[in-house]
Amino acid sequence: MNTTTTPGPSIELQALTKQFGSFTAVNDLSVGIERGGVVGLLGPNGAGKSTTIRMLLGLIAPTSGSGRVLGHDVTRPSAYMHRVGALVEAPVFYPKLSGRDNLRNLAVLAGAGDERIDEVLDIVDLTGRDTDPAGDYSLGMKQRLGIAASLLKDPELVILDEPTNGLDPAGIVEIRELLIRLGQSGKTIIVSSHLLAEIQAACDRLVIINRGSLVFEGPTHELLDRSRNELVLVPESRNDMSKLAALLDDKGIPFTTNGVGLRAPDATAESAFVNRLAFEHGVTLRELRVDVEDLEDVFLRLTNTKETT
Amino acid sequence: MLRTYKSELIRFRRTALIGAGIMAAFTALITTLTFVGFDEPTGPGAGRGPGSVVTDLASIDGLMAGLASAATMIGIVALALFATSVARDYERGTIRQLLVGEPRRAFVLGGKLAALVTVVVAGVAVSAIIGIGAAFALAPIADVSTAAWTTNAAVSAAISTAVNVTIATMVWGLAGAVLAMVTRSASTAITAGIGYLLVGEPLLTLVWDTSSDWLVSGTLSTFTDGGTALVSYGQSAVLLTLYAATFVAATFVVFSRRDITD
Repeated sequence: MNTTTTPGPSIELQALTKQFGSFTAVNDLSVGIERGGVVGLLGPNGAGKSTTIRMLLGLIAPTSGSGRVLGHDVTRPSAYMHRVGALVEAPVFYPKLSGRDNLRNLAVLAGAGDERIDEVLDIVDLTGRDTDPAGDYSLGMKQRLGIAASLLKDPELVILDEPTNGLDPAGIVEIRELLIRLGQSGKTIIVSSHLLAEIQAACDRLVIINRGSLVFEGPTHELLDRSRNELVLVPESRNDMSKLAALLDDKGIPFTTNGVGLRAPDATAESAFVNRLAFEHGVTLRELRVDVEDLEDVFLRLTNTKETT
Repeated sequence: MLRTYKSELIRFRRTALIGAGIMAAFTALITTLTFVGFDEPTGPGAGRGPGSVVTDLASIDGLMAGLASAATMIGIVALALFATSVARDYERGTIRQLLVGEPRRAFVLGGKLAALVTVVVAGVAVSAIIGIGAAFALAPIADVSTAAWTTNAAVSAAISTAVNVTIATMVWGLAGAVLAMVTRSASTAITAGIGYLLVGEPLLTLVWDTSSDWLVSGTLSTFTDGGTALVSYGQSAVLLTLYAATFVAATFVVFSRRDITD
């Protein structure tokens, strides 16, 4: 249906800011998202993801800064929204109407016909259940119906706000597989979530924001490069903690302590040396291991939501 | 705008049918009360002379007496319909879907109001037909002559009453729309509208007795009645146009500038 394309990135934001009174929901956000693939917009609850998405969709006006969506100014949504599909927060449907009739109603707005309704129902794998009342759908089916609604215009850019919210593990897997399929179709899919693990496998790139500001932007694998490995040392006797700390201090090895053991982030390659050092000074180590930070840990650390251990 | 109009009619079909049904039911009830529930003055010459209810009902205006008397109730139903339609999208969150589908807010609101006006026109038309049918059915019971009702003058008067009630009902509805747009709550908007009608304006009229000549409810009554001794039909029409324009402009301004955070 929609064949108009313009060159350039899908989304370019320059110092985009949104304030609600004295509260800054999005602060000086600058980010560029290229066309194609699945991009994860991540951040903890209240990070500013939904506010950013609403600005992209023209639902709220930026306080300052600028943005372009598919080459058009973000303050003129009528110039590009016919090429954008979106699911903003929980999908809302008329419970007594069937899934198909709910889509038909939205298709009137989108200027889409019955053929497109069949196509999107097929994409989200709801064919066969389309005549059931939407009120009888499971949460996962409602989310899929919401995604179907966002695809009615056959958009170049699809923005899905927390599509896995409230889903059980099976539902999350369903949505993740759907995102991968959509990403392979050539569209640009932007999917927000507060849980990296839920959408990580589907995302080619990640944009992580926290407290309204950008903390990471790049390919998913690049986030792994930011992982920190730590050497964990736990002495057999708690009384040896201070002795062990003094030994590391003496050798210029930085560390932190949590009362049970010591964590030395820059000493992962020196485990043998540290082990010998402790032994030579009469400290028996109950544990000596390297803690490898996984992607979720990096995400939590970047967004300052990881509990200190 | 045509897409929004169609979409609104589809989504609002059930509520609109209920609203139109309530309008018709009020008209039927008030027509019945007008014809069989009146208390005719007693005494020598009563029931036949000028000022008599039977004589008034037998006049060319008698045919639509029920609809004219039900105008305020029909207006309140319209206020509730418009308020529900506007606020419901905020309350349910469907406003987001609407604006993702059609980002031109003026088109969204224009289509919505056009759909609601269609419902009002249909609702008043059905009410008028019900009122006329009830009047003819009840006239023999109330001993009211229907001879004048079939004259050209009566048809002209009936059309005039129906048009006036339709226009007044739309203004009621627009008042409901602006209240709902500001409050984003159907119940708050309806309560505020009815509260103003039942308490606000009567209180203002008590304090400032000429204010009923230009306040909303007073102007609507004057317009529906075809003018009064103090305010002509034309004056009330101009005032009503100003009110309608203000309501529409306020609704559009609030909607176009508001962040959709719901």
